[in-house]
Amino acid sequence: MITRRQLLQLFGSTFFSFSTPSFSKPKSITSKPLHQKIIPSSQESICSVGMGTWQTFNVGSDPQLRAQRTQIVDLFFKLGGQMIDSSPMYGSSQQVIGHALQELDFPEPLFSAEKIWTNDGSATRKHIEQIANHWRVNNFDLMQVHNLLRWEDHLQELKEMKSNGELRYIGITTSHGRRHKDLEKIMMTEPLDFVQLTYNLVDREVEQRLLPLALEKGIAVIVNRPFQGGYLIDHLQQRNQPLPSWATSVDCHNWAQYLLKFIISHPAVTCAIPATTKLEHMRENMSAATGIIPNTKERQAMLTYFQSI
Amino acid sequence: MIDWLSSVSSYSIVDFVPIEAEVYIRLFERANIMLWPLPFIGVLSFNFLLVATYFKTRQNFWRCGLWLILSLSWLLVGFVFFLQLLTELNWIGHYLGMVFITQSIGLLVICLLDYSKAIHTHSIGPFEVAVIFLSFMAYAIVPWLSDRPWQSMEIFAISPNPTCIATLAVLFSSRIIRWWLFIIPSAWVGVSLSLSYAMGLYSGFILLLAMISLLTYHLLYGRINNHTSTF
Repeated sequence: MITRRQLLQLFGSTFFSFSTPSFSKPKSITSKPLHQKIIPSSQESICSVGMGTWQTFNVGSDPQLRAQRTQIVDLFFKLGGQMIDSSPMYGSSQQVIGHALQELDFPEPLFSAEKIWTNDGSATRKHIEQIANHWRVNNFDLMQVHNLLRWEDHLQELKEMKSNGELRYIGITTSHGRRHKDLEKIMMTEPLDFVQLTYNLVDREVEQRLLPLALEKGIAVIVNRPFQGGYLIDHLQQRNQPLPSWATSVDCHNWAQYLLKFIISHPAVTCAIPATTKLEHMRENMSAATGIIPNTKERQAMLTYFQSI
Repeated sequence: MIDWLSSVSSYSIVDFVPIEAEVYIRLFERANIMLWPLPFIGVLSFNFLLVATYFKTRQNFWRCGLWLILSLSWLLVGFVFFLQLLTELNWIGHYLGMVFITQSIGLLVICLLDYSKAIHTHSIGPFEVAVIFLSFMAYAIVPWLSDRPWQSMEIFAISPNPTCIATLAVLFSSRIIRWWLFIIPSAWVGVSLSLSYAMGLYSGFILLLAMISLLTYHLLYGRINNHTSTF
């Protein structure tokens, strides 16, 4: 049976194929198989590198910058990306994603991840409708409660929407290592499909309790701030820091691959969502989902080398 | 409430600035292109009025002109830069726009009051002129130093920081110090600094330097003490 989303995409593709001659539906340009992870609650597989939109997609109605961001989304799908994550907190990012998706004829396989961010606990549905309008889609794959704001009210509504088939997955997010104790309690008691948290080579607090708990409870994990808000990669590149000689043995040829492979090789992590405005960086990010994924011993070596520099 | 408070308290300043420096700078470029040749006319008119006030010929008339052009500048920045452009990127743009329009009204009131009462005011001194000139030059040079297009220059009457500096210089040099007119420009210095810090830009620091220079000069040379103070 055809879903509402497929129907919308069908109409969208028919209409917009006439109106947007500059872009067409992205076709995969990667020949290498991409590293996939399993979403525990559904056993669906998903590419382990997605795309975040914090700051990078907040460009308003600026046509020049919107076109540049559309190119980023285009390349993301051509390289096999799936998950795009955004939030109402990110200014005009949602509208800019919606514009890019429309320009690209609603590329497949999009995994749309969004967030509820309102203090009005009774406005969950209204809020989601508004976000869907911005994205120009009918519904979302994943809806998360942003930074635990009014999570009791929103999560209750999200559970109902999921049971009605209006959402595929539900989750909750935090970042910068905030409110981990509260998040742990929610993970223990609520039927979550996803949690989103910060994890990278310098911010590894979640290794202690949250990542093992996610594995135990069968909750998929999205990792935000994989480059610590760009600080990590900028710092390493400015120092012209070389990769260790053995890095090529785990298919790491640049720092983006190194940092991302460390994250996605954790057994609890489902998807890392780096954000970028540059095509070259998008290529580097997506290349982290190709080739050899480090094992436990190699992960330890990556960490030891990183801590030594 | 507790949930909301604990959520809000866990945010940092960077969380409220979901804008990349490149995009913020594009706002100046877009505003300049959108309003061209208004930026050119604005700077010329302001400079003309400064010179006219400096030479003390029909000073009160020119001084009212100065208040008027400052008022129009705050109005334009409020409407175009904040309400039209920044609000698209961040909800705070809406409130900043309203605040800038409020300052515009305040300056217009002073313009009308001064004109009707025919108050003799001091002319703008060479120090204030120097601060305005140097800061305008700094804002003109920054695009070249940062390898950005010249259209992204921050210009008086289009961008908030040069407008704020010009206003502070004129306010400090007034014979009657109206402290309430300092509230919004001073608050903007704080906001601009926060934005610049979050985005790694120089802009807010030029504004801060200009404000410190004006304040220090007036405190050191006692001009504020010699003025009539009113709130």
